[in-house]
Amino acid sequence: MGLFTKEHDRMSDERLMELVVRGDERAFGALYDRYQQRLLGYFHRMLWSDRELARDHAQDLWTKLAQRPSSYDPARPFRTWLFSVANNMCKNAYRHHAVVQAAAPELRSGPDREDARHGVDVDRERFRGRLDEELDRLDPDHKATFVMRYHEDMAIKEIAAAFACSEGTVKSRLFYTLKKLAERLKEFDPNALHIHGKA
Amino acid sequence: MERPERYDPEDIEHLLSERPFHALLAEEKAYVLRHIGDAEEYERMRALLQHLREDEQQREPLAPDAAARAQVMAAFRAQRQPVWRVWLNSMAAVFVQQHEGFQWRPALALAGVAAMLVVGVAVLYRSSFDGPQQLAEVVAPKEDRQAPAEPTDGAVPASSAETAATTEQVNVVAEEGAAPEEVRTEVPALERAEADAMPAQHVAIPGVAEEAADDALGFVVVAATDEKKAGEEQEHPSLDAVTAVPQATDHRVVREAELARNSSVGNATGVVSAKEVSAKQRSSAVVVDRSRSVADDQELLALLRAGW
Repeated sequence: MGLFTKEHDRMSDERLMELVVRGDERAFGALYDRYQQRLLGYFHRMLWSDRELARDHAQDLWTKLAQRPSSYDPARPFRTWLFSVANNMCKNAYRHHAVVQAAAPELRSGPDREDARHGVDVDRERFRGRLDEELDRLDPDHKATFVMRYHEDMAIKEIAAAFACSEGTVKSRLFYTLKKLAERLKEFDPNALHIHGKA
Repeated sequence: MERPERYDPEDIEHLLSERPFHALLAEEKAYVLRHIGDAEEYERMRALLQHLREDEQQREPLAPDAAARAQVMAAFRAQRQPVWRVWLNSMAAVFVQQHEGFQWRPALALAGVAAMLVVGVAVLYRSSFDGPQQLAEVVAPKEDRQAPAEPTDGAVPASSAETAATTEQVNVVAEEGAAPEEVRTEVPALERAEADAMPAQHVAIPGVAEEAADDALGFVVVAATDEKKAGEEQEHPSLDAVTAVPQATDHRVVREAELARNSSVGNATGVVSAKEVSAKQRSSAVVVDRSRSVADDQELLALLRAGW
């Protein structure tokens, strides 16, 4: 096994990208399968929980990668490079969204709440809605840092590499974002509810 | 002396995940309270983290779209170079590894193809050049054995017009006069059949294999000077059976040089060209005759006059 065929599933991301640059279609397919779902989730959280927008952005990213695989910097880990590209796309989407909102505020689209139709309980759905709202109010870098850390489960070092900043900056952003969200979402704190109930 | 701080905000995150405020050590509580207002805030942050993790586990991931994957793969395929170019240029990249961009240059691919073609043609030429030589060495003795039997009187095979023409040329040369001292002997098939029983080295005398036309005539031609023949006779007494010339028959003696000259004369000014000229004249005459006969055809002329 593996004498005549390459086992793409076992290869590292960086090795796969080397093959992609040389035109290996199977390597590109392996990378796509490995990251498509995570990218969809990232775009979904970052882009106002809009599924179609998330799919469009993910599609755009992969198409760009297919057309210009040499744009990948081999010196960087593929994962952080991929999310930094995704983050830049989200920033562009924010700018576009701000322009559209300024021109026609009625065109603002609300978050896609399809999850409620899948039987998730109402409290959890409420929490998700409120969390997404509060995340949208954050500074884009703080929001992206928070999503990468707590939704994509990336390490501090990886996030720092994706943003090209120090690890201390990432830690600081995370701490203050968590503190701010905890303050804004205090109605979901069972201890607080218990305390307020007693009062 | 104040101890250096052991925690940073990421460690607070670790503490939030692991333990409630009342389970923290005194040192840890002091550190936490330096960054967080009070125990209530600590518990809120802790609850939020738990919510996030639970929510993340229970959230259904967005399903990737198969059609989207197909589109992306098609885009990748459309942008890729043909495989043969990649492969050839990869060879260049192997030699010049510090410049990976080399593998995308079409000039290198074309140069690779050209180099492969040159090498391939050279190998094929060499192999085809060696083959017939080996074949000739092996087949030449067999051809003598398998030659068809000719009539003994004329020594002319009736198989083809070409061989007949060659025989004619040989006869012309013989009429011009042959030197009897230089031996070029025809051996009738029956005698040659006897000679077949001899070892191959007796037949393969230098100059024999070169004259393929003579072989086609059914002759075994022996080219040797008198001195060489004498030497051959000493070494191979049985060769007399092959080269013996029965003077009383119609056999002719032709010199090697005469045979070569006869062949060149035949090619340059031979009968063939004269025959071709006469054949062309005859064919043109036929065309003229046919045109004349059509013009004299009264029935056709009548039809043409009637306006058909």
